[in-house]
Amino acid sequence: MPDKFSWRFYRPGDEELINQLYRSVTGRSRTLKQYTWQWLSAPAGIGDIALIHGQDDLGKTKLIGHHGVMPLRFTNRDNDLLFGKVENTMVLSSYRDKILYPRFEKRFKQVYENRYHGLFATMGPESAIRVRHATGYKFPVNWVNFKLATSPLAQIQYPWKIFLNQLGNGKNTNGLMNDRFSKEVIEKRMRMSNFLSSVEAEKTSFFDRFWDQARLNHGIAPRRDKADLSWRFWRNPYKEHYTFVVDDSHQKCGYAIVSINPEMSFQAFLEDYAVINPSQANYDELFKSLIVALDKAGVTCLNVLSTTDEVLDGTNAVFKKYQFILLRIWCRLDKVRERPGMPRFITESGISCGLSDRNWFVTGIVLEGRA
Amino acid sequence: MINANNIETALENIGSDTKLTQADYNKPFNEIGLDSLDVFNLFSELELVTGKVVSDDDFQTINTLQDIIDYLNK
Repeated sequence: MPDKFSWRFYRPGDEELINQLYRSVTGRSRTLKQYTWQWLSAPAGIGDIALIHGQDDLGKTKLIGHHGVMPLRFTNRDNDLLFGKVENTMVLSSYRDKILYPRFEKRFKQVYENRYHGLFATMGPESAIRVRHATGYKFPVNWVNFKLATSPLAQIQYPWKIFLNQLGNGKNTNGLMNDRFSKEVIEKRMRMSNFLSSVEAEKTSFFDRFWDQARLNHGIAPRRDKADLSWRFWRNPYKEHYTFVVDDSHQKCGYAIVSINPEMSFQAFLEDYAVINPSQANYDELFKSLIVALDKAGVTCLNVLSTTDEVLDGTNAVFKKYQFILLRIWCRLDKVRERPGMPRFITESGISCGLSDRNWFVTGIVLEGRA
Repeated sequence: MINANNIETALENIGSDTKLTQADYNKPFNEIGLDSLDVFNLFSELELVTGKVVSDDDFQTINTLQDIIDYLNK
């Protein structure tokens, strides 16, 4: 059994062992292509990847832990920022009571935090949240989920489809009892409803200057240059994304990107959205059009992840408006349930830029991006 | 000098409700209900009180509360 632990940052060639550790800890397989996309190919550069090795009495070392930070480009009006997203914090279960992991994370953070204006994490197990608390993160806002009905009929269709899907689960009833369709069928439906495929979205000129204009109306927000969207969505090796553009007039100009779970194609997930001028009226316009298009594509429910940041009050009001009636009633009754907080940390360089850990324009773009 | 009272105060400050007996001072941390995060917080608290920083190498040799007292009093 290893009894001495050391750490170092990533070196080319570590990928396979990291993926093996990832599979051991999470039970999920990850290909080299998926690893390279997530950790080595982002427009902001290579991630900060710290590896913990255990060494036994014979001097043999083994990778037993990993902590990563994905660099993500952000903007605050016309200022360019670099934020880091804590991801893939993992220790082999057999070593969790043998190493004092938080001590390692504190060390890693001391090394990498100077690179970033801000650090954050999304969600994680209770233990990860406790480590973030202990390493100085604040939890100024909470996550909120919405389920939007795409039509009055969807209020009934959606629970029914969920019921049928449960019945048909595991049976070869493609498209009959469940909504399991091939990527090609889903893509055809989405394209007929005015969604762009990834290839088409990359080619459209809409995104060439979109964020150059929109960023001036946004405070702290993930950057949406074409390079950022291409990497995160259109060249994402995990899943297909469908892009919906509203380009009626300058003020209403905006987009939304959704993904569809092929196993339950009546459900869509809102991955990202933005409008040039973030007003409630413009968000209303964007989501009204999006919901009509999703309904046309056979989607009955749009899942949305948002936060309680005040700058998102306008969009959250729009999401509430379209929320399933039963869920709206349930949410009113379910006030006691505690929503998870979003860990945030503003570094010294972030503080010197006057950044705050509140009022970020958070969308699903900050999630890991895997299926 | 660090003693058992300092350890108990530090544990209170980090929000641990572990009740200690004399024998507990020589037991591994996990056997007295302290997980890795509790131990991390305990060290951070004691480092503040004593002004001493425990090196990474030494850190790995400390397994009990008595080890902490001995180390910080060295």
